[in-house]
Amino acid sequence: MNSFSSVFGFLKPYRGKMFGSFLLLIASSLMILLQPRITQWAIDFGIPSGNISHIIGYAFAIIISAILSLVVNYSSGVLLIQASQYMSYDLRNALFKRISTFSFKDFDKWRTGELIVRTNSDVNTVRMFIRMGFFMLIQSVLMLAGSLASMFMINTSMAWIMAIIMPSIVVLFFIIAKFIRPIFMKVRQALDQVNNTLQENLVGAKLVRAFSRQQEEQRKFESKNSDYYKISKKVSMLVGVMMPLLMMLGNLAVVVVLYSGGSQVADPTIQMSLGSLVAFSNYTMTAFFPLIMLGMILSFLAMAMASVKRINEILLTEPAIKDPENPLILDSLEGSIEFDHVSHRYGEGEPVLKDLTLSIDPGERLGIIGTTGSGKSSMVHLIPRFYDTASGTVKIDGHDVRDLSLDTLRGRITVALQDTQLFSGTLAYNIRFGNPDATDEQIRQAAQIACASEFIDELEDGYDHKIGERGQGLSGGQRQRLAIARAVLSDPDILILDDVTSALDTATESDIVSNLYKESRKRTTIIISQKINTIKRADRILILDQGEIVSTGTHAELLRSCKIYQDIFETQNPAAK
Amino acid sequence: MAQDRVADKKKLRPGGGHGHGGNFEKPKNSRAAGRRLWIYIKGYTPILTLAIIFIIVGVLLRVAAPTVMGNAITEHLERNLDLPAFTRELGILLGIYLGMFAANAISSILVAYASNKLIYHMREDGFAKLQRLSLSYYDSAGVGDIISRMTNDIETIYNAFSNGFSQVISGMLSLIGTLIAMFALNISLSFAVLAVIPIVLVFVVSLGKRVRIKAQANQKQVGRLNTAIEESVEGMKVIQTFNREEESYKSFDKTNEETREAAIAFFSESFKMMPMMTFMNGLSLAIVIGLGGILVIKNPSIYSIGLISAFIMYARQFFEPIRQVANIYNMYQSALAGAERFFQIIDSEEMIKEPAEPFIPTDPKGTVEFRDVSFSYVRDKPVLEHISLEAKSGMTTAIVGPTGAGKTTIINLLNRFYDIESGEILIDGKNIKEYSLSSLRSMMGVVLQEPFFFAGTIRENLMYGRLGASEEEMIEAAKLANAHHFISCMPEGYETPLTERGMNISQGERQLLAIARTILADPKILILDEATSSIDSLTESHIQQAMMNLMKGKTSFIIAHRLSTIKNADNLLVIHNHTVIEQGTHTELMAAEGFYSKLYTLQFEQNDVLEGMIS
Repeated sequence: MNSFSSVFGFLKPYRGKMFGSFLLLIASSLMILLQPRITQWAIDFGIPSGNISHIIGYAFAIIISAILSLVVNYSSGVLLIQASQYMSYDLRNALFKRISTFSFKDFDKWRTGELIVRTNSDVNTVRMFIRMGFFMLIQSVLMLAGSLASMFMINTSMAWIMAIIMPSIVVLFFIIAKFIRPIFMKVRQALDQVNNTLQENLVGAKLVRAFSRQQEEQRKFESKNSDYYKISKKVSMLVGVMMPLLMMLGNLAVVVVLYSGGSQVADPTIQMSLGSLVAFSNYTMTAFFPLIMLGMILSFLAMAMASVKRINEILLTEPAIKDPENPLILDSLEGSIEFDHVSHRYGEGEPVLKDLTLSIDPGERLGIIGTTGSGKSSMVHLIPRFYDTASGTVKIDGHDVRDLSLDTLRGRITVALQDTQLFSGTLAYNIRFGNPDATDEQIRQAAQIACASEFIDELEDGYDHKIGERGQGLSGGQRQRLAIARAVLSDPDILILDDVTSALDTATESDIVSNLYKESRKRTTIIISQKINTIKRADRILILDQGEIVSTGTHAELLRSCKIYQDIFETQNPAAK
Repeated sequence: MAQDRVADKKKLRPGGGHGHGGNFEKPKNSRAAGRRLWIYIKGYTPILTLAIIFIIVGVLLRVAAPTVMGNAITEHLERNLDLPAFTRELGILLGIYLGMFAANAISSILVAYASNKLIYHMREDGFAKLQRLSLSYYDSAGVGDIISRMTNDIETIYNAFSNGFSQVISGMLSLIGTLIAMFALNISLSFAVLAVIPIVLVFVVSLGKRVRIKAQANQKQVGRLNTAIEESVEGMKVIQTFNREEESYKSFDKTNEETREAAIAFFSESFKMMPMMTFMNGLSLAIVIGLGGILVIKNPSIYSIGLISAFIMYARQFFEPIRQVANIYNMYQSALAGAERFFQIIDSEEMIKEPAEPFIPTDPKGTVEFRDVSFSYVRDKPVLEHISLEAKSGMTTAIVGPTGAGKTTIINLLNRFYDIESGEILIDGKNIKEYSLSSLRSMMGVVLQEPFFFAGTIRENLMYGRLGASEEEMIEAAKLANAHHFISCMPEGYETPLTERGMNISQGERQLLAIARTILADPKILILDEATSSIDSLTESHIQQAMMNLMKGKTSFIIAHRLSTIKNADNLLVIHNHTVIEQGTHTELMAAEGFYSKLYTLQFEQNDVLEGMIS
């Protein structure tokens, strides 16, 4: 219930709307009750009076009460619609915000399809309960209490039977709700699976076609779709049967009332009147109506609870990496980086960095080269604190990165990630991502540094050219150059390029590096590459192997002294053999 | 029309594709969507007929129950006190109630079955269609939006169907019953009750139209919201890298707000139905009382107060089902909006079509020939012009050229991801358009520039290359690709799960896995598109020998920037300015001192100075 209140806390700002809607609902119910009254007056007094204008007066009174009820009823509904929509809007925003604070580590646990279902469909389930179930819950409880009270007024002994039967049915509902809640949970999970499979298939469309695996994909989807179908069908049937079942329970109660009432009528010592028997059975029926309603609402509630739990799984995730309590905020960085006995691993895996110690001077141009899986990316990911080290500290300008504010770290340090993700939108939009305030001229300059301007200028719509999701429509090399331009535009104090030149030809690659080094601004620059050509002009080159620094030095020094470097050089320069 | 507009807009698709997708053709109107929905529903005629029968039985029993009950009380308690007879009657009543339960439960189950199965089939068909659509569709269609069409939109159909079906049937029945009873009693008062019906109809139809439009806007917005979430989640690492969480939140908030407004507009519109029907009920009541009252005064011999009272009751009874049905009509309108969006997927044009008589080769040799091939992703913006090449069976062709020259495009054409505009591409002398798509693509194994993996274990992903390969074959392939070592080092080995955005393996390792996957596929034609760009050159040189072995007997195409990788190719194709400018072996091209030799020298020119230092 605690988790429940956390989500329903989102209703708080709209309790005015909710309350207003509720008042209007009561008003409209009263007005609907007024109609039969006026009708009755019309029959009792209007028609017998023989006065036509009188009768027309009553007719108009009915019309006026109908209009009033229309206005009140509609306003009540619209207020509720607004409250529920505003709440779900806030909830979606909160979810999105929470997802934005996920650390890379949290992120690796989730699949996109699941996050979509939770932010959209699960929020919707909660919203539907607010709109449909909330008032009905109050209404049905009130009506139930009212009918019970009336029954006690007619016949106490029979009313006691009802007073015992009805609460036990409510208890039964709760038991049923508890029983079906896991099933609702399964429905949502099955929907996750459908979404995940669909999402993956769409994103991997090219691979599916390249391997001609459409049939397998269809089979895979078929199995998820049919899981979803089976569990949804089960739930639909359960809920579908529940309604007639509840109705039957109500009807059975009427039969029981009639049976025991019949004998009371027949019993000369009690002499129950026929009228009270009929009235009693009528009340039993009216009492069961809200009971049936309650049953349906409780199943809605169970559905909403399942979604609430899933929403909370996101909302209550404490990001693994967040600002320290008193974050150190710096406007700019000198740019010195220090690795002090740093080790790192992912989850329970093998360590990817082993006791790494290294210090990088402000303004230094560092190149990193090393075998596949040697820990190059892992190492630079620790600098802006994408992950926390398993042991040891990373320091920037002498401060432990865990003491610095994330804004400082991420704002002053930019990593052009190996996976060059772009967004749908114009090229200018994508480059400007590095700095939203940048002028067109600055964008152009950044593109020039990244050698992206040559292909952008060839386009008819230039920087306004639109690209699709994930940068669809661009070649790998073009994507990389845009990612570099984006990173350059953010004008960081520490710039890290994580192998983002792999798809570029040698000439372009050299030009980019020259452009970067040519910039007058003092900046610590780290370039990771597989190609010696890219890093050979660095002040210092670092060779990583299996999470350890094998050697450091300039290109010339390493060529002389380092066997591995010589080997790499040879493989890339057959002429040297 | 919509497509032309997009085609006119200049688009750039060097490595990617063409912008056709996204612009779904609009079905003529919602009536067409309704008709097509009907075709789906038709398949369930027997089940639904059965459901209708049970619904009718349920309604009849419901009507019968009060009569039996009233009868029991009047006959056996009031007129003469006969408790055993009364109990007997109660037994019958019990039977009726049980029968009612059975009838209602069965019809519910039948409708639940049919409605779930219906949307299951729709999803199935939608997915199958998505598999047939060519890559160009995905270049511009939003993944989140497609997901929304496949789930949310289909769900609206389910909602209308599962909730509406029995309500419409039982509503219709009680409507007819009340009508008969009313007309049997008095015709002019019956017309008084019905007087508002024309207004009701006009209102329902015009509201229905507005509801549909607003439902469409709402559902479109849900799709946009999905796309926004999907794209942000996929790009969140970049967003965090650039410290742009605030901006991305703002832009999400905007979409979210638009979604909220569209939803409020839609729900408020469709909510108008219920209060309006209650109002109509009041109006009809007023007419009955006004007219009835006058009639009683004018013509007391025929019209009595009792008659008017009966009609007041009928007016209520009559409007209850009308209210229900009108509400279902509303739901039906949203379902139509959902159906339209779903059928837009089904109607999307398949750009790459299976030939009428697909050719399935029995023993492909793997000879590839391009004859004067020209291609552009967008009209008048050629990407490749007059390309001719010949790759004999077992030969290795390297494609070289500056970034963005169109190298990947050649591969895309060979695979028939896109169709060429002029010229011919032949495999073993036969136009690739005559091959069955699956046999064409099965002949080829591509290692894509950016390897994609499914969430699943390493084993599952390797097996994707050849379903049903043996354990030994898989490990052998991994060994050849130099991937076995790092896989074995992982705690769970081949069972290690690859997560969607997982950091547990590096980019280079991903490429090794992709190579292993293709090795396992053992294709006749091998295509490596920058397959080793993130792999260090030492590892690359290790797998080079394996690659050589792999390429033996296969026609191979290699795209690579590292010229050392491609030096040994039988034929080098230099692409520049959309066409082949040089062709030949490494030695020939170096001797020619053309573009290639310049490119090659550049790659090593600065190294030359240092050359003397080693050795």
